[in-house]
Amino acid sequence: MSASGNAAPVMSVRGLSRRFGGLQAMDDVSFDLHAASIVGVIGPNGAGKTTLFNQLTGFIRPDAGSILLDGRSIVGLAPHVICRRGLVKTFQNVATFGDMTVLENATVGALAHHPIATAREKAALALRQVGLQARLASPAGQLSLPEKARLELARALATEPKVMLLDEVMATLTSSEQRDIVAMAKELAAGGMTLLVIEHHMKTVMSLCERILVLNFGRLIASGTPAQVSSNPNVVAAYLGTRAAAELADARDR
Amino acid sequence: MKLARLAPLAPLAALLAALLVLPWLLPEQGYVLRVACLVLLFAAMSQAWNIAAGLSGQLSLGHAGFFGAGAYTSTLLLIHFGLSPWLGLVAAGLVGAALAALISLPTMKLKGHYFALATLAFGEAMRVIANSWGSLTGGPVGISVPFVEPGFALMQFQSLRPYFYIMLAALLVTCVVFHRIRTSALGLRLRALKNHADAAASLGVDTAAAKLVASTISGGLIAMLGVLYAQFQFFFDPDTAFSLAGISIRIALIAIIGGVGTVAGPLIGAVLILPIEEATNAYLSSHAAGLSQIVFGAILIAVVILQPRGLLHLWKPRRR
Amino acid sequence: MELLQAVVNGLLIGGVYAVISIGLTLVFGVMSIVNFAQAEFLMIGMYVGYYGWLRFGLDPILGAPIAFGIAFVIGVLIQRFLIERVIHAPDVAQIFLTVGLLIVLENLALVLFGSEFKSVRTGYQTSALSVGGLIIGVPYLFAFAVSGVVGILLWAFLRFTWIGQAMRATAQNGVAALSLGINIRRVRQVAFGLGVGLTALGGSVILPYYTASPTSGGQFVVLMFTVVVLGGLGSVLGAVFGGLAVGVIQSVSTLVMPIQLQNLALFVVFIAMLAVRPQGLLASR
Repeated sequence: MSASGNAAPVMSVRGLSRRFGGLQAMDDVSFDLHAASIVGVIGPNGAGKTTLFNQLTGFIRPDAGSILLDGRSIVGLAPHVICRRGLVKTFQNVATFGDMTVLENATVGALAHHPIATAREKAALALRQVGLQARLASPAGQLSLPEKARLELARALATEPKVMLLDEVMATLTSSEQRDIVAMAKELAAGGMTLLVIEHHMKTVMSLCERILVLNFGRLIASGTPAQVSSNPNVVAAYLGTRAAAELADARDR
Repeated sequence: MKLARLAPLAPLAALLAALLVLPWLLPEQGYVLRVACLVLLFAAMSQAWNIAAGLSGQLSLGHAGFFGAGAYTSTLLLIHFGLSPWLGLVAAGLVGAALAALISLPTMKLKGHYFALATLAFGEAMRVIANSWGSLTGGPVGISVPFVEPGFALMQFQSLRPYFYIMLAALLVTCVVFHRIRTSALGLRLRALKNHADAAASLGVDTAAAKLVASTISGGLIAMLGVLYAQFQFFFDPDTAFSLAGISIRIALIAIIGGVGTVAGPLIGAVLILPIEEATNAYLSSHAAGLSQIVFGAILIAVVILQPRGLLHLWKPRRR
Repeated sequence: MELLQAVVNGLLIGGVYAVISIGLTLVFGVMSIVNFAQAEFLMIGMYVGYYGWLRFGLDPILGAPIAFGIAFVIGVLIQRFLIERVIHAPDVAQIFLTVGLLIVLENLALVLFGSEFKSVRTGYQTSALSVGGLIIGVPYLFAFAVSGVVGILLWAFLRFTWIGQAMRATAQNGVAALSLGINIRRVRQVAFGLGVGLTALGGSVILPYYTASPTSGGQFVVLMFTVVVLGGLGSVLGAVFGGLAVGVIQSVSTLVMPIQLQNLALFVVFIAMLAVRPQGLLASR
């Protein structure tokens, strides 16, 4: 199902650290991502998940550490360059381009690798993939929240990434929509994409991700399969608490 | 041809036809024709401003800096080297583009008030420099475009009619440039970064490069329009050519009232604002200098007070 | 020696620049509005000082508090009826409003007072002190002294009065200030009035060595903004530092470039600051 250690990792992070004033927001985080896999990132609020994403996408510069994408370092590169190298993220608070149409939104993404002549077609394809083909001409500002979430995905897909960072896509979706997104994500991974997913919704994380990274206070405190992570005493102690632990046990046993 | 596809263009064609005929319906030295020429010129200037500000959302209040630079460039070349203003257009365009690129670099990352401030300072700095550098520009007294002989060669005419057609052509050119940019990759990228700069960047948009290009084109175009202004007015001084209220604010206001980021916006705005201004100017100037400007300022304030959300609405058609 | 003289001159003038610009930074700190019309209140202060001298024989430096008072009242009214409406509006609206004010005020002065330059004549205008080889112009010295006094009064006001503290609180965190029962609207009115009042006061104080005209304000726009950006928008102490710095820069630059290009040097500094360190030289980041 997922490529394990035999192939070279698509993305390799070593010793990533970042300080903000007196706060160590990221502390010596290291992990690998392989092609065709879905990895989750969980942790309490303030654990550093967003900081991690921001460093990966070039919005924040790490104080120390390395990030290799396909063997090449992307630390210090501008966000748009990182995108063209194949790493893209979706935004947590909806960031669709409100006064542009759905197609135009996706076309912006497609422009990363295509001239305008072919970009629109590529964008339309991406939109079809997420099921928005009927809304191409609608102004993005008028879409419902779930539709906007799909648009975010389509836009990111249009950039033809190797690695996609999904930042809490599920937050505004109903359970059936979540199932759709989960199915879509698994399809993408099967096609070779690497997904790194921040999610709070435990059930989704368990069903979606083959591997989970657990952050707390900027440190990586655990990494493994959902089963391993949910039974890891450090994780349970630091983050899950009794109620969430019960949820986990439930989801695992299902 | 496909008549159905051409149908929406019919009103535009009619308008164009009307405009082409207009100068012959009016007295060729008349006041109305003069105002009409200025309406066209300012509409073109707003359109040039629109290319940078309307598409990318960066409210520049310093475009007079490029405008005046263009006017002085071609006029000085004419006076000192006898260079035809048509060639002066090219020189002015280069000067304007270079200045715009120069200013764009340090102000790239600034937002909102800071950007407006920086551009305003630029325009004012140009004005002050022109006022003080008397040996080059003639100083506060101003500079006259020598009237050698009427004709196309030197872009100077006794009748207003040729000017009208030149301004009309300029307006058409700026509109076409605007439209081409808006529908191009650059236009999409600019509109994206106007909406959400970080999202645009993470989707591969080089926001700095996009803004730089838009700024350069905008600056170059408006500098060229400065040449037309010089040839039309035959005289200008630093306080007029680099005027904050008379040029920079006015073209921004025209574009915003007419509908920023759209092709028709500057045209609508110019047709609305200029004649009213001219009328109040004509009526009030006889009473006291400055009265018409008070009205202009008051209108500006009124537009904001009565429509603060509306201004947002005009600035960003749909939010959230 | 020449350099030292230039520095001293610069500091003397800089003190006034500081007072003139403090208002701008105060307004921004409390309301997050950049008042593009701020320099016009300098002009208003100049005219108040001028007519105080012309009609009542009042020395402009003594007339400065009156300039302050008049500008304060005008400022409060403008804030209450105009500025308050756009507090939460987008930047475009705020920019256009204050620029509109700029245009109205400047041309109102033109209509009311005419375009001729007006200057005062005071006994001490041309006198100068000689201190250790340095020449110190008396009007500049007076202006600096007044600025110093005003600066101290302002500091005390912000530190020890209820409303001063309320202003500082609002500048730091408007929402928290609200929850402490502070009447934010009142605070904004006072802040704006105070801000423009200080600038007007500065205008009157420099009258002995500066001529009044409707466009006097315009001469100071870039300067004021440079001061404020150097020190950090919103920082009163920064404005003091920025004022002195700008005074010195201006003064020293005349040693190496023609006086007309003084403003160019300023402009370059201004743009460079915005590009490199928009939060000001004093900010911690």
